[in-house]
Amino acid sequence: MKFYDLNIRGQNFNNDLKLIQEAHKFGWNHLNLNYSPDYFNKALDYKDDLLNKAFNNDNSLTKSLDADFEVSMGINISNPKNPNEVRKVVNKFRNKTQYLSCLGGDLKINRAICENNRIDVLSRPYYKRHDSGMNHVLAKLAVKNNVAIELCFRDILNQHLKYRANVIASFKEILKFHRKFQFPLILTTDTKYIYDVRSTRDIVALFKAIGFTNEEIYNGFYKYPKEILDFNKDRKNMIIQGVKVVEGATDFTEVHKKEDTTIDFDDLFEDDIEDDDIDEKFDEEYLDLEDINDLDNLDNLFEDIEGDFDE
Amino acid sequence: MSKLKVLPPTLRINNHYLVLDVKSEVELDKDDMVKCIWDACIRFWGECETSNFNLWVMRHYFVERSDDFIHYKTILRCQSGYEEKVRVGLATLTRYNYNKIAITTIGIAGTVKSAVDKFIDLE
Repeated sequence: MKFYDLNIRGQNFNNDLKLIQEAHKFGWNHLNLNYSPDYFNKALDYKDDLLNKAFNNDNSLTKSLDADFEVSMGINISNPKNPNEVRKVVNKFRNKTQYLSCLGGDLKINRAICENNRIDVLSRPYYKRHDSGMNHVLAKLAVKNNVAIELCFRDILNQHLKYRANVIASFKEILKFHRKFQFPLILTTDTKYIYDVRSTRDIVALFKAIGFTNEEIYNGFYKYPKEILDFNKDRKNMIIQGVKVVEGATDFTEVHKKEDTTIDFDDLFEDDIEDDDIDEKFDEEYLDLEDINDLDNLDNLFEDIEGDFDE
Repeated sequence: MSKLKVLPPTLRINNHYLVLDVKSEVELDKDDMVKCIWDACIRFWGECETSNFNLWVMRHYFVERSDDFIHYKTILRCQSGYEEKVRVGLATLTRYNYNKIAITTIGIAGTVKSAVDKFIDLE
């Protein structure tokens, strides 16, 4: 399994470089740097330099990144004032980027995003709200228009006490809708600074603690993000919804490839601690005869243990 | 004061050792780490659940000082079966004494020795 993080908050060249190196160190496989629409073109200008520097780093402290690691750039429309503004930005940037998300929070904007099939992701519908910002109507619209809902780890990280509990409650409510309506639900970190970076296993453990199953975490970090990026690579060939041009296809081209979906979710995130690491050997230095005498006085409670000692 | 007898192995709690990667704005000694770790776990899991963790800071190493942060590695003992909960609690810590801190678990081992051998490389 690969770990996709579709929401790394891009800011400037140096900060982006540090985030990429740190995230790679902690096990992430694909990073998507998100920029505001105003800054996106500037970010594209330094994209090649950024990748060159990240992938061919001479600094011994940060090992050069391997070939499996990928970085992409996308747009996050943050703080849209009204649905019209969202629509304008989408029309302007849809063909220029593979990832287009919009920050939610306002109910009208949440609805406008869920109704727009040209937007990939509704980011944080619970933002600055006391509820989750989702209901059954929005959930059905999200399914119909294939808009993914994004939950950010950073919202838990940077809130405390009552507010953190509120965010977790929102996550659980959105998860409940996801289980019923099956809209795409993606999990991201929204990393902004180097102090926000956590290892993939830590994030998985957190979402498990909240109540996500292994399969939901797998889908949220790998399946849905990959589908979004793959879908957008083909988006220019889409004529209308459900119909796309397959370039170079013949009568015998297999258009639909079935993937092997036999994944054992039970053992997906188990830790590999080698047996010989675990110190369970009988430790003779602590065994003396007095210990056994003490145990004899206990009312048959430790009979099994005595048996072990006698052996 | 007399010491309690050491429990026989079958009655002892099984422990695992988490290797933590710690980034901090300011210098941290071992006592600070103890406070950070207890604070993080109690804040996220509460007193009742944290009582199961059997936390103990075994080792605390300084690794390097960079422009952005001071880097440490720590070996933390916790009861086996609670590793995931401990790492969640630690991952949610962001500040200690108003200074930024980030704790990430980079490995789990069965003994302190194997934890040091595998994950601590101080050159």
